[in-house]
Amino acid sequence: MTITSIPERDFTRAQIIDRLNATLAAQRPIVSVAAGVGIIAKCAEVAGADLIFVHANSRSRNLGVPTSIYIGNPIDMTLSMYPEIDNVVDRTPIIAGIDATDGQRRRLFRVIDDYVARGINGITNFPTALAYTGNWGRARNDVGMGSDRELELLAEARRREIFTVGQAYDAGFAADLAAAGADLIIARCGLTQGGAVGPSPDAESSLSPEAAADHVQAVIESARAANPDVFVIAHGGPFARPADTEHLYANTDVQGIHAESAIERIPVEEYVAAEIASFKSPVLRA
Amino acid sequence: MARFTRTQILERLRSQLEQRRPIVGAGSSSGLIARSAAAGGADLIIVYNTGRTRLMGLATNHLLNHANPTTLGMYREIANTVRDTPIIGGAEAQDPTYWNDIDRLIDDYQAAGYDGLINFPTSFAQPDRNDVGLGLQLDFEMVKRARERDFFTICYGYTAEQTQGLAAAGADVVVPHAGWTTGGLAGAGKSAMNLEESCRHVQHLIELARKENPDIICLAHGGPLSSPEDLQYLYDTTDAQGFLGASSAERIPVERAVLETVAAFQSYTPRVALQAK
Repeated sequence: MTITSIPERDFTRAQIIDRLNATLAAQRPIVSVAAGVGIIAKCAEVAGADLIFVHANSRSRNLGVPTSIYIGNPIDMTLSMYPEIDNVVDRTPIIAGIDATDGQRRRLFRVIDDYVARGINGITNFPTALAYTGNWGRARNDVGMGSDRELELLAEARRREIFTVGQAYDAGFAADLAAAGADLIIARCGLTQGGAVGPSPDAESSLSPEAAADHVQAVIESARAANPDVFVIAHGGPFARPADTEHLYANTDVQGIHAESAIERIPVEEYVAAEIASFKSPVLRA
Repeated sequence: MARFTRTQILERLRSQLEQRRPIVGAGSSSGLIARSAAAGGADLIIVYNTGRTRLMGLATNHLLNHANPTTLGMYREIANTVRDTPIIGGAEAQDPTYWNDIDRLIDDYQAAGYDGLINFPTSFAQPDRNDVGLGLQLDFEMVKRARERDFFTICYGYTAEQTQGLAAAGADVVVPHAGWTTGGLAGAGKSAMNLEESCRHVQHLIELARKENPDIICLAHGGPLSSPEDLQYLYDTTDAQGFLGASSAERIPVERAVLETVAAFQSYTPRVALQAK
């Protein structure tokens, strides 16, 4: 029942998949946008973004610091940012991050219930324990709180016909995510390069466009071996600006881009600075 | 505690004016916006409780939160990304939780770290608030006390009475307010003044303020003043010495940034989409 002029934002899993297929059929990339504040989400919707993501690291970008996750509990931060995103997004699915390795929330089904009750349209394993170098995320499986929980999360969501997004830093985990039922995989290429607080392209951890494209293609091939229908889009690393995707799209089978710093950090930095500089440019009369 | 004294701030502003460069204050409600505004050359970073509503994607609204606690709580995030620019807090003098206690209000802003105050939010046309001792007189008292304590103040002036009173009370900077900012996805519409009317209104208030204090720095804010072209017209036709941007600093450019960048990302086609049927 609709009791006001503002309707519920309903999307079934099938409707979200149709939406992504329609974008590709129109020969356009899937563009998903991470938003930590309403103004970003609202404008992303106006611009026609395919998906809007709410996850913990958006908070740090709006603070103006290098992208960080653990400046709070990730699920708590996600749920505190979500209401203002929900408030201004009417026609675009909102996908929200769940830290499946949060030991304070052992019953993952309850977390999923909570997200669905809030009107969240899809879930993703963000943050993922495999974002960290070394063996942390897999070693935590020894105590039942590692990356296997992320696969459980996706499988449970899929069982309930909720749209699911898998976050993959490596090709092996991408296959696991696809096998667990992920509808879409984000091939992660590291911190988005550039802007005021991102790593420079020649930093030790920064991938070159060529290396990042190879990585994305490996993720795609691995994920598609597990599920030929899975969507794969890329995030971060050298793919920071629209023109950077030209190389990516020409050299891989990727279907679009997931923009975090590429929308809610770098353009905001540049547009705001340019606007203020333009306000300084007029000359006062003598 | 404050990073800039009143004297230091005034010296910075006067040096801009000597070069005939307009003073620009930028409303900034997140560390990201503040860092970017400072990088663009803002002379003052201004923190308002209304800024949170702009970042929420809503039309600017000062009634969605309790202003003073909100603004006091925002300082740390802004100070974390801005080191070399004075940070001015929007203080609501008419807040009943600081009833008859303007000194404590100023204490709290100084303790938070702010370098100065601006009288925002403020009501200027509610006689019933005056009748219970919570009206415009408190703005005047806040500015007077801040000046006695050598704490920098900027004052919005919506009306002649308010502008004259604030200038007389010792405001360092007065900002004739030309109404709710137009433009972008959430700006004022038909209710706004046009550019010529706004500039005449601003000049009228500047002349009133200068009668009280010939040295007062006069800026402008709001209404149709939201682009560099509008500002050049303002500077050509009035004695305004600069501009405080709020929506025009932290809403309209952010809207454009997202709209244009998403559209640019959509303009490249994956090879797989070229093969799609």
